[in-house]
Amino acid sequence: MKTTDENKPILQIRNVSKIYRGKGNLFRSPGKDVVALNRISLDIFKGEIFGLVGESGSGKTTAGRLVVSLEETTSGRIFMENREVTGLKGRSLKAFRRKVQMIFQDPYQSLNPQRSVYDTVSEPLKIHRMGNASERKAKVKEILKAVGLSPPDDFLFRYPHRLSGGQRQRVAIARAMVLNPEFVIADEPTSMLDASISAQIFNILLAMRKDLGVTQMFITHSLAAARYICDRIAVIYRGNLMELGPAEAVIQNPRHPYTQALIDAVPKFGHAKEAKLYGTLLAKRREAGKDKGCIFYPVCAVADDAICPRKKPGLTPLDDGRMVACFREGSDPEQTSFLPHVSNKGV
Amino acid sequence: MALLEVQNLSVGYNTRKGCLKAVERVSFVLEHAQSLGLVGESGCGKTTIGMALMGLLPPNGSVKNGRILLEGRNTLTMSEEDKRHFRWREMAMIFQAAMNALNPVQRVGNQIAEAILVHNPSLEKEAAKARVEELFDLVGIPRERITDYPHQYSGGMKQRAIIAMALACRPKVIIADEPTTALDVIVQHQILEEVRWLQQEFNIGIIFISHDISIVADMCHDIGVMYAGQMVEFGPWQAVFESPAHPYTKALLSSFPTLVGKKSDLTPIPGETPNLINPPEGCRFCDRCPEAQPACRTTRPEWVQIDETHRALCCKC
Repeated sequence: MKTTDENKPILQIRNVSKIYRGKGNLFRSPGKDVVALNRISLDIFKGEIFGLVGESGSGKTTAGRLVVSLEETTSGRIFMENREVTGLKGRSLKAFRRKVQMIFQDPYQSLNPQRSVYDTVSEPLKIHRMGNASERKAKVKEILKAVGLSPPDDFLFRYPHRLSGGQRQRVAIARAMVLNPEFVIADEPTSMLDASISAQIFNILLAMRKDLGVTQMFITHSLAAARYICDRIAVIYRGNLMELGPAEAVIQNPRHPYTQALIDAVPKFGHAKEAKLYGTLLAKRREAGKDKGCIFYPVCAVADDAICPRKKPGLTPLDDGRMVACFREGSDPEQTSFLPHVSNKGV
Repeated sequence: MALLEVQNLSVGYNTRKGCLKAVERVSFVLEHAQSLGLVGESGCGKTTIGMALMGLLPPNGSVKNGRILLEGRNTLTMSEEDKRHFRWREMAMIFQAAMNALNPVQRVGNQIAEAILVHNPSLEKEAAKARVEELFDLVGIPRERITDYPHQYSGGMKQRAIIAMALACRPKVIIADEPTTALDVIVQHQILEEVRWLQQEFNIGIIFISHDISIVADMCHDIGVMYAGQMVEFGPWQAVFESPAHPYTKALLSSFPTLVGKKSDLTPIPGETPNLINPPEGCRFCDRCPEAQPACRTTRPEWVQIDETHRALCCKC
């Protein structure tokens, strides 16, 4: 890790679950509950870029929305700088939102087509009553320049339809950055963009960390993107954390069979022969009891039938600074989080 | 004789602001059972080429110039009747956004059977049904899902159904337009493996259209790199990706994050793609090109043969 404040977690997630209750139907039996996140615990340290990697439906976006309090946790607690954010309301929620911002996935939908770039980027300043009109304008220009929309005067009064996808996403980043947040969640910020434009966005995110020290949670489905920009990554599968550790270590030497299956599936771009094949994915899924055992057991080719279908492995630290939830790697059956308890200082 | 030969293909779209030159003077050859990848960023004309090959351009689009030869026959001069015959039976397409390519109010099996029956009117319904079952086995969808509706399928299954439909009439050429873009990596991997196997099994020539260079590098023998409506580099994948000649290919490669190999800094390509209604006079990439010379602005680049099979459209090569 590159950060100096290595031991200072800025964000602490403890045993957080999110269950979407099925509404059911008047004429049918009640709907099914969807477990989007299952008892997730993790720490994000000051100044790092933390990657949350998973496939669609794995709960990675839900995790981001819970952290910014766009949704409420079903159980568990989230702390930002030792202050509990779960259940914040009113003024304290507004103060919290000044420090934590989000960049959404689709810049074609996250910008209001009827508002100019200036309207969009200055709105957070207005909401938080910062500066007068001319100060706000100066701040907006400064931030537009920082995200590479220069000269800013060219862009101030443009509407989204006159911006390309990459420019729109930069406006979205500017909107998130204008309040000088301490923590930014970027939810798949480049999945709608071309490779050459994605690289621009990655570099802006890296510069934000370097110049302003902004801690980031980078949500992505692409291990390659995570490798490029993240210090540490967590791999999430159907709402459960499977592996967490330094990005390069997890990608070059994955220890969880699911991470290994993911790496197997990524096109190796001409390196197919050199790449090691783990072969941990079962071709045909096997039957497994519900809600018991490891979530990956039904498709895991290296599972131990004696224990994997019966108990859930807990995320357990290994010797090399990473954590894995797999009995093969010596995980304990699920227990309470091994991460330190957080005392709430209150707001 | 080559399976498919495209010579000097130009396609334009009529718009209110004038003719948008979406594809200009593109040539390539696809041999039997080979695969060719067309890569490039959005708006570079790769889907337009696919649509032109199928004869499915939208009403405001038309082929301005060039020839498309399928086993020597020019498909552009065919009558509508012949075209309908050739489409799907000789050349089929896996459309982008498979999520929306199926009719939501028809059972999946029926849709595929319809494709078979339309193109083989003499076929008995029972025979078509048997063929659909066979296709479902081929692409790995359980037979009991034949009578399901598309919404009951997962994304990967819909994609498989679309591939089954493309295979329905045993075409010689399949155009796969971003076949796995909306899918997760594990499902993408399974489908690409499936396609690779089917290609070998049935000797199909495949044109892969994708913005993801790692997929085409894995799947294709030859690569054509597209930029702003032109093909700028063409050759075997090792040549194009390991010793790229055109500055755009180089720039594209260095902006692409990879999982294997050394982790290096990504360099984005500055600037934006040119307007194709009034494309620049000289090289279309010169505004963003780190190696551009004053002459690049005014002179049209010509093809340069790097070696026998590898060529680039750049006056600096």
